[in-house]
Amino acid sequence: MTVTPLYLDHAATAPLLPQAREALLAGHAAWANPSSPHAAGRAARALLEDARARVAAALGWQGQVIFTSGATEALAIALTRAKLPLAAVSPIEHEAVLRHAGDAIRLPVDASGRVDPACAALPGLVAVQQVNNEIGVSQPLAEIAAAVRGAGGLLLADCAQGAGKIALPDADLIAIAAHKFGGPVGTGALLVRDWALLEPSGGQERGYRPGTEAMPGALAMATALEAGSDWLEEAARLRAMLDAAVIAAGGEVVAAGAQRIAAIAAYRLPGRSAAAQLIRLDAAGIAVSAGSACSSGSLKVSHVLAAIGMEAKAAGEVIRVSLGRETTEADLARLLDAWLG
Amino acid sequence: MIYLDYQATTPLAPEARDAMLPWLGGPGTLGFANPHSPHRAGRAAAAAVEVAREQVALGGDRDLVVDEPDAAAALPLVRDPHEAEPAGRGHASGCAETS
Repeated sequence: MTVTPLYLDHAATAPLLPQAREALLAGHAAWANPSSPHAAGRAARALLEDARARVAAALGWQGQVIFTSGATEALAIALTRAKLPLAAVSPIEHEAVLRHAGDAIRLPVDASGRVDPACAALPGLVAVQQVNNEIGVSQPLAEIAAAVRGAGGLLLADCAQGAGKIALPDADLIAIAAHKFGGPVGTGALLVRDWALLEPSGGQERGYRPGTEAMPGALAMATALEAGSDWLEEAARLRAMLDAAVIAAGGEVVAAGAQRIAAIAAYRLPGRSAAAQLIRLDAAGIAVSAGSACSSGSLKVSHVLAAIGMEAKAAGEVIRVSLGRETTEADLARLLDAWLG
Repeated sequence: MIYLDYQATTPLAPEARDAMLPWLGGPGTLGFANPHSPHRAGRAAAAAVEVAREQVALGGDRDLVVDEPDAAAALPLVRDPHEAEPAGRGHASGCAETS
């Protein structure tokens, strides 16, 4: 018997929207190099610049847009080319930030993973994510931005999990990834408030990102952003149901008291290992995750759960359920039946 | 149009397009999961990446191939990946650093 797949791992990657798929294929059909001077190249350039303007408009971004291969590359550019050296990061950043962090200060977080804005008042580059990829907690970025700027620093916000879903924060540098909001994998952007904040490296994208521009991906990213995020309202309702069902079954909602994006939730079932829960759900055709996808290959203890004070055994009992545009109430009923039934 | 600028870029080969389409979603397609995800869909995506790696290497040493979106992004990997120096800095009082 084949089981119908049920995908509840949208924080790892979301399905490509049909209209984004069409835009991607249309971009490949107009395949010239946007940096070529001939008519075909200029046509590709026009499509790329149109995509850039559409991305900025859809995000409400007044600054510059540098297309990259994803959020990881956008973060790498920001962390290595920003005019100020890295001073501090939150300890629950994605590995894409932490691998550049060296001995930069790890800002203290509370039991929900929220950074104390007063501690971010530093005269360097400060990297704090918008939404945590494992537990969904939103950081108080307006307050953090005010503290960082008040001290003469710059704020870098990894918005991979928030962009295309909730409003962007008022940060100086922002990284986004198209595949988290229905665009194609392999496309992202670094948003820069002002060119003067970055040291150029030469090459394309005004000298800030060398490499032939991936125009088809840029078009598809713009199209995915334009699809909007109305679905989050329904996701919030569904997630509240899920939270209540887990609590009723004796489980725990991680960071329950904090402001969390509706699309991501982390749950702990005491006495049941995450690996066993994943295998049970996988056998039922249901895709969820333990911690982040990037670390779940080894199912090692999550640095995020450790940072919010969870002991290793408890952290090993946490799974992540992440909802998407197409998630329905019936999907969650099926999840609950297979998981807690 | 007569295109004689293949050094700048080449059209997407129909075979390459056909190889891509099954992973772009839609009815009857193979999937779209993150290759790092542990579930069935993730494992299928990871398997596809490994098959592609073998095909790219074709008789070369497969361990030498690291997937990168383009050559410009791959070059820093063969230089020092830890070039960036962390900053020296002061710290606001009352903000004990977490470990």
